[in-house]
Amino acid sequence: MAELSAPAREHFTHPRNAGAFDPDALDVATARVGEPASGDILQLQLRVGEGGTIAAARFKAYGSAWTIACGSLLTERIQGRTLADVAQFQHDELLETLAVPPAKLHCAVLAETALKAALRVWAAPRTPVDAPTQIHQSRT
Amino acid sequence: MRLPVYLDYAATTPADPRVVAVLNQHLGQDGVFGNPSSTIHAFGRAAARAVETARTHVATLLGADPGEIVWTSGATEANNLALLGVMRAHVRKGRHLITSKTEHKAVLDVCRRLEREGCAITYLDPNPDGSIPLERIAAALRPDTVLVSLMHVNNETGVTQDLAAIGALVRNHGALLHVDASQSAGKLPFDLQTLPVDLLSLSAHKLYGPKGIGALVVRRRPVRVRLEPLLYGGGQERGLRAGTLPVHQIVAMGEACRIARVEMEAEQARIRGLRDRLWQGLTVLGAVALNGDPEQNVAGILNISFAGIAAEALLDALPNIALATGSACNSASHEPSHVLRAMGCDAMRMRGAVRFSLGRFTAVEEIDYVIDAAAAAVIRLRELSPVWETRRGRLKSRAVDWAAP
Repeated sequence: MAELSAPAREHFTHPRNAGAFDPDALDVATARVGEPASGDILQLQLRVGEGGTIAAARFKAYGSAWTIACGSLLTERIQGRTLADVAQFQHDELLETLAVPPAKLHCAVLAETALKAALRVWAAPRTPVDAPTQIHQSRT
Repeated sequence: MRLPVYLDYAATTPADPRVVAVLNQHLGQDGVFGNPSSTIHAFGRAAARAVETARTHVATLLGADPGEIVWTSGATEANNLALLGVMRAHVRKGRHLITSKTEHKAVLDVCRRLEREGCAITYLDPNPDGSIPLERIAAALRPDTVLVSLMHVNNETGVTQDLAAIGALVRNHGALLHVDASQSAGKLPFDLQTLPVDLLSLSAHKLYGPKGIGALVVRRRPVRVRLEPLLYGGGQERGLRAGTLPVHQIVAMGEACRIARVEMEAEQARIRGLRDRLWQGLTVLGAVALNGDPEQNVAGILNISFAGIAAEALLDALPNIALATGSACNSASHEPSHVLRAMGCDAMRMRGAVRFSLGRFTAVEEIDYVIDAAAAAVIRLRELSPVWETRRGRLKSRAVDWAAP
């Protein structure tokens, strides 16, 4: 196991914006993505406000401490920015700030994947309540 | 209480201070430093006597004859010598070996090597509780089966196998039984006078001795087990293991075994009490699963899966407690435990598995500290976990997109 860097430990120990919004709220987009090789799962929710800005974000994560740290930093980075702006977000930003080692690269990539998925969910027409928001494959 | 708390005794134990004292008496100029093969002078003869005393301590712990002990560098070498040595010496009898999927890599990797030498290996599946059913061993025995190799206590789960029944079956069939006793020697009572085991691997550093020393017990009765050596040289250890004997390590292992024989019963009862206390303290959290047979196990190993969280995150949340996920040899890689996989655990149960291993120096205050710290960390990580949220019935329809780009 790669030892946590100081910034990663700080985010892991005191995660920012952890938790969940009501997924059925009309101003919330929810994405839950998984990384098949490691089994890590990241749930990201965006509350979209006036003018297409991210008023608030919430995350939950299952897996390594690095995934939790990446989810935490991601929410911090995207709050207050416009959807168009964060569409350009790259996971490299997380790598640098958290000093993510190569073996844990997938944790940062998963955070970017979650953001892209949440943006797609927001852009897509609303599906009926309780239907899956994503096409999914069951893991074997 | 000393921090961090060490609960990884199944990976290695600190040497007992009494063992360290004996070791130190056999290194320097004022100690017994001689080469036991140099029996021409007093230095060598003193060293040889010390080695033979140690050999007797090891043999007495197991109910073996001192002449049946072969010193090795540890259990890995002992396993290599047993499997490679026996299979290579019995080519004319057969080339079939039976083992299980829950063995240590020091057996499984040797089996891979034997396959490349033309041997046929049967890898038995365990029951979900980790036990290897007798019928499955019986069904796997063939006329050309030379050797059955099974561990006494599993290093990840602590599950014990019924050696008396397995040994009787194997011996009745005319095959040999090798047992990796790394995790059981000095912890469970042994009597090789009655136990039908032909070869037994030992490691000193799992029983409060130093690293770098172990032994293979090669039985002479009822049949003298034949095996090909791995190392050739000075003819030490009756030609089975050449190399100058590391006297300081040998006497230290002897002392560790002497202490174990005297203190085992009371020590194991105390550790069993601590283990029960830890288990009861953690089950309060709910959705906590014991991996392995709840009855047939060694006291010092407790393998638990916490639903909703990954063990590696739990360990990162507990920097003041030394624990293991899977076995120590595995924790550098991404591979989930091959032991839990063979027992049929699903991916999340494997990911959530933590091994607590207790030992001689574990104190009740440490257990209480671990219960409190682990409980707080599990609760915090479950709050953060989308999987735990799903278990609780909220957001239940929100599927995970595993294929998102």
